[in-house]
Amino acid sequence: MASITFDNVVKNYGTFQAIRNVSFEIPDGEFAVIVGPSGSGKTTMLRSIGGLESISSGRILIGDRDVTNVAPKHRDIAFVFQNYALYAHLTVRANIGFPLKARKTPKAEIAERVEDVARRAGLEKLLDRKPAELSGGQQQRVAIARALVRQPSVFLFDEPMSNLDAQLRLDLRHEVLELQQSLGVTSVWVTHDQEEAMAMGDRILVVNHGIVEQNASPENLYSDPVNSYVAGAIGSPRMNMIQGHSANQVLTADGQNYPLFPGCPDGNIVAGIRPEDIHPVESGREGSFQAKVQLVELLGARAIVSLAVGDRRLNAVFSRRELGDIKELDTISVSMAKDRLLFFKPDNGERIRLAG
Amino acid sequence: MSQVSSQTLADASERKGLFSRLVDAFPFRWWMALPLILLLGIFVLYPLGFSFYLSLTEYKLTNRSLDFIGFEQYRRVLTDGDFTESLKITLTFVVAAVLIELVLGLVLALALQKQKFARNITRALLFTPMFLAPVAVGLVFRFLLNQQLGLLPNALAVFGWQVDFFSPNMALWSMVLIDVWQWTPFMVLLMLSGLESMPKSPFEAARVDGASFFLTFRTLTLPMLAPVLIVALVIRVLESSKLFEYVFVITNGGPGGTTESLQFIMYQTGIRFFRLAEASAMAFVFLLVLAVPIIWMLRQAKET
Amino acid sequence: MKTTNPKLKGLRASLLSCTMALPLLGMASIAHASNCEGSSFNSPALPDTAGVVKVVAEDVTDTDFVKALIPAFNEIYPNITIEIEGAAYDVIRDRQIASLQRSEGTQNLMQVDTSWVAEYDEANFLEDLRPAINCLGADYNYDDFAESFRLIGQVEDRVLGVPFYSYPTGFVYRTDLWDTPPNTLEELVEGAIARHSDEVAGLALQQKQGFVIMEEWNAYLLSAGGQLRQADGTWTIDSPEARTALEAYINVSKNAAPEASLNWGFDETIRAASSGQASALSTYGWVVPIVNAEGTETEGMFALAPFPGGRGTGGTWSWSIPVNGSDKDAVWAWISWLTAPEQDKARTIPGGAPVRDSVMNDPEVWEAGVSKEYYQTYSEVAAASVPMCLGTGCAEAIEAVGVEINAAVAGLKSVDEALADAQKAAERATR
Repeated sequence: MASITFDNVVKNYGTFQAIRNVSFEIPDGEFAVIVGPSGSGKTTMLRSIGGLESISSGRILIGDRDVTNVAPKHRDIAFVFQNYALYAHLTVRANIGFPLKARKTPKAEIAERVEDVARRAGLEKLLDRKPAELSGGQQQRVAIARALVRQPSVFLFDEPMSNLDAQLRLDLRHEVLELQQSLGVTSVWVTHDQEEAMAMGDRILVVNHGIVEQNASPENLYSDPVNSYVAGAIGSPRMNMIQGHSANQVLTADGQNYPLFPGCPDGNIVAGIRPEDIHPVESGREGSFQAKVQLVELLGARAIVSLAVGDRRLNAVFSRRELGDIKELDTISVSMAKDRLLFFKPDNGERIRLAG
Repeated sequence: MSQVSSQTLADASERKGLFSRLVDAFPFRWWMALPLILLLGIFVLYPLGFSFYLSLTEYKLTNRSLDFIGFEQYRRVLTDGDFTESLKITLTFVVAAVLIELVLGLVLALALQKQKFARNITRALLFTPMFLAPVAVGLVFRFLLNQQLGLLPNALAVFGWQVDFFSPNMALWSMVLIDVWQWTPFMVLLMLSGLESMPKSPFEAARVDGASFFLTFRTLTLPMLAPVLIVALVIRVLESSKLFEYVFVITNGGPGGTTESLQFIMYQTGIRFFRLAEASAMAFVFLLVLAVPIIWMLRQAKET
Repeated sequence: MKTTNPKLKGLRASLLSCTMALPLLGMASIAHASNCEGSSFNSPALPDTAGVVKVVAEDVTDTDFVKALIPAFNEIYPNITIEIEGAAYDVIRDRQIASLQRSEGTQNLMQVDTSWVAEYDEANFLEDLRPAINCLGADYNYDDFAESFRLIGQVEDRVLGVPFYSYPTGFVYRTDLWDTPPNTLEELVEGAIARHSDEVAGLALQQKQGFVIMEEWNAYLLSAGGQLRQADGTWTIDSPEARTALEAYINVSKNAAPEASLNWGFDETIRAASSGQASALSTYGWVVPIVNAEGTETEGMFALAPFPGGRGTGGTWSWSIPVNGSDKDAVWAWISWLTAPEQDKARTIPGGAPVRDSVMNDPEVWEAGVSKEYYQTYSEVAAASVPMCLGTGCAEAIEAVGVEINAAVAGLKSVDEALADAQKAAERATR
């Protein structure tokens, strides 16, 4: 069993609170992603799991073991660093074999396991090179191979893709996912890229200023965010947030009226609608409103359309078909998909759930 | 009027042409290097060259004849037992002092790196010895190691150890002690900056991988520190081979000639005994002896 | 270690009244001729002589006493500035050599040590002062300088240097621990060993290799009836007397000298003596006022005796005028004034090392100075002192012999081996 549990963990650096009383559990075998902006505490959480940072209070458990005060080497974890952290003066072979050598594994066994892992990571031909002679992607594979060779209970990845280009990122992403699936090892992956998070995670922990805003599957984060922060963090382009006053199923914001539907909350609210849930409709359709097309960014199969409603800008994503021959400066009718509208309290961003 | 002035102008531009032609004759970068070359020439090459010339004569400070006698001085120096003895003494000193400083310096640097409290003041205190004048340090140690007056022998006596720091067996090692006291901080300084400029993540990776202190040290720290170590080695070997001040103010080369370093006998021969030409010859032989390890070390540095 | 102020102040007062006579003398000599024949600078010096006198002098008490006399000098010679820079022994030589290499020296007055005189003369660095001395009046009395000191500054009959302060060696001992000073070398050795204990050493030796140990051991050699060098220049180091002397010295070193003092120089021995940790020293006579100084643990406890056998190592610092110096008239004014009997007495009384017989035999000096016995003994010691080596190559010879002697004392060579090697080294140096 190698689940990971945070139990009321607090981490302070002097007066700065990096982790503010966080609790969660990652079940055994899951691929969890911790996503958040820089300084949110995600890396600190990851390093605390690994034991590279100590915590100020609370407990960390790996499986059933309380590892709060256990040194990294005894936590049975492997860590992949953002900048690979390879041993510059050792060959690839020696790099991969290093953890085994540190544990005084017999030489023959080291050789065998290194060969095995190198093959898995596609590094057989590079074993006698030094890290400086490898490309970024190859170096990252060596780092992953070094983690693999240990056969640990937990893999920890600290933004390992940040220094790679887009295509390489995609390729490596697939490889890592396949690897994790075949090995079934609990993994925690830290990233600031929400798309990467959505693509990779079985579960995602959205982190902001030292707390976990939401810990859920990608689907739940997307369709059922617990507050406006999560709603805005997930999905690109960002969800449109319209703050205004709702009465009689009409939201009035900045002098504009946005039609709502029965059951919507009244009073001062923030309505959120994802760009992909704004559709062009025939004018005059019930529940539509006018908008002026400011900008059209064609991305191949879809287009990001920037709409002006009064003084407000809304982003919409139209499919190619929906776009039709809509051009910039056209005035069109659009409507927001009813079942996709989300409501939040204006003061603290908390989600207002509708009855039923 | 205008005719005259245009003529003058024409002359002027022709003159200017000559000058700028001269300047253009040589690449610009040569002109840029000229001030430095001049300085080097005056303060380094000329004295060196003149010293070498002197070493081929019979020049004495009290009899300044420049009669050429070829390599006679070199023959004297090399067949004179004192010079070779002094060479041995100096080399022993250099090897012992530098090795101890290297190891001690590394240990201290590693410890200082981990220190959490009162870092700045500890470092400031630790580095002061190297800013003191060697003569002053020598004088202080002359009395510090004095059997009657000195703190060290009296402290050792508490444990029942009777050490004569300036006996024929110990005198050179006392010189080593003083050099270690004064110059280990220099090593610490170099190594500490080397250690602190090393990337941290490989060490964290090693920590996670479960490497012991010694394994980390061998595979990570030392290779990364190698360039700094070599620089430190070169500097200290060159400096310590010039052992002079401590001998001059404490032992006068004794007892029994056991601390007659090369620099000391060169000074003695040239200034005390007025035989400057012979001292020059000694200096050049010394230069050749030193050149071998220095070139080797620099080659090593190039490779890392 | 300075003398007390009252003595100096009183002296200055009496000096001022005395120096009133000198201008009269000077004016009298003007009547004859300002530049007497043969002398390349004004002798006697004229009161209106102008110039700057620069010298690098040894950092010892005698230099302090000399500095104290400058105001009185300026009363007579107001246009002459004296600049005295203090320095350690080796530094003096280095500075002198450097200055002498130039076409115009940075120093125009030099304090020259015993073994340097002949070397400098060989290089023609120094002016012959004989003609200038001859031009001075009878009051100067050059022959009044003790003969052994006077001869040190001379080469053939040229005077390269006028005695400044002397440093003959004798036996300096604690009067409370020694009833009588030893008369023979055996008595010295036995006496020192007998008085040796952990707290108080029998005899503090300056055993450091080189000229340091030689200053001391030469006295032992003389005491044993030997001599480093004969008058004709032959070295007699490898001799039975030397053997006796070296064995005696080694005996003292092992059994009566302070623990671990093989590296001791002059400073260490003085320190040991004045803190009551040594009962005797075989050192320069002029240290007596220093170890007896007010405020030390051993105030007034030491006395001087001639070294057993009556002869000690002789030595003197002399004032010289380098040929490449400037303002030689001013320099000669200073030298001739300072070394004249009256001023020499003024320098000696606070504790300076005497060089003139008249000063050593002057009851006023006995009264105001250290003591009658001291000066009388000093006079004896001076008369019988023998410089180690005169002539060229001496500095090197003494240093080389000192290395061998030190090696024998350190146990690195046998006595026979050391003496043989010393003989060879000395011969080689003075070839």
